[in-house]
Amino acid sequence: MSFDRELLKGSITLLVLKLLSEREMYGYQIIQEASRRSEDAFQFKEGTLYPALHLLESRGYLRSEWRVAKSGRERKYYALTSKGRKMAAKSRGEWKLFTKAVEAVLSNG
Amino acid sequence: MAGNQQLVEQVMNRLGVVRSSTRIDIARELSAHLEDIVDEECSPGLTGDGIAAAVRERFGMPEEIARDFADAYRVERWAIYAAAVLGLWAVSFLGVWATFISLKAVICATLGRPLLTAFSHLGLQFTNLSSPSLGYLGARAAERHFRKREFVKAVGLNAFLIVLVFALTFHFAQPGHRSWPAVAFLCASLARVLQGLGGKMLPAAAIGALPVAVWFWHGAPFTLVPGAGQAALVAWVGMTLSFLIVASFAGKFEQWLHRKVCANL
Repeated sequence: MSFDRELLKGSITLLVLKLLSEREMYGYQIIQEASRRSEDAFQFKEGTLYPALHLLESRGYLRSEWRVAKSGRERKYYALTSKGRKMAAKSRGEWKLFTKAVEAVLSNG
Repeated sequence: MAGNQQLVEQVMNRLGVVRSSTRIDIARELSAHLEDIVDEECSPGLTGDGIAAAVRERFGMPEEIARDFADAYRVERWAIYAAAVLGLWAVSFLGVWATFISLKAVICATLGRPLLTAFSHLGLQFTNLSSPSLGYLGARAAERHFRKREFVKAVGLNAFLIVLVFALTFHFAQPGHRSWPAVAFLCASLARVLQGLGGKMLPAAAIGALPVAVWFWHGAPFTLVPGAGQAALVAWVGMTLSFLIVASFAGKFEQWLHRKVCANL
């Protein structure tokens, strides 16, 4: 199943912050991990992840560093900053409230 | 893989002006990602065109990615652009000023007047000689940036610039000199419009400068040369040269922008 592009785009920040709150990753790993956990439901265009990562970094939620990955190639790893951790927690809370509210509307038809 | 490089180039070409380090970083990161996709797509046994199609499908539209990057770097892009435009205006102003000072120095030397006369009234010279740059660059900026309702926005931008020129003029200029910057401003805009219509800058500059000459012919104050005809001729030559200089700097500026956009691919 694939979701609406705009819906995915709107939730990409939340997904990135959540995944990076667990460990440092580079872009390709983030996509692989999101795809694995969602059982391939999240199949967004992969190039669109990078502007989101750069925007989050420019806002101070992420920091990045080029390092050698297991493959022996250099990859740009992203990690949450302390500001990013707070943002991740806030976004998750907001998301729960939002989905709860949407579910309440849908189930009370 | 050549296809990967092409995809990265398509993104970078549409990115706009960002710092070189940012461009290098983005290109490197996207290339690394494409490399990982190729590795993954190679394993099921795909080859050549099949891999290229799969990479393109997974990566997404370069235009869309570039637009998102441009949004992410909006502040940086505008800061660089604003600084560059300010630099262009300053360089243009200095070019125009150097031209007029040289002309005045030649006249002083020919008429046996002290050379320092060419450097008198520097405040007035600033307002007078900034107006051709503002007029030409204002018209050119309007063409470049306004895609929708361009005429209204161009008038708005140039009205702002002309008010600025007038404000400076009233601060520095004596009553008899106050209309000169406005005339120069309008003539510079006219030269740009003519250049846009005909494509050649020399005739556009020469025709655009004619109203200045007419204005001097009808008795504008000009203390260096005796006679309205000579004053008109000097003003016409000076203005034509000024428009050519500003147009040349603006052309070089656009080439620089283009190089900056296409660099580091």
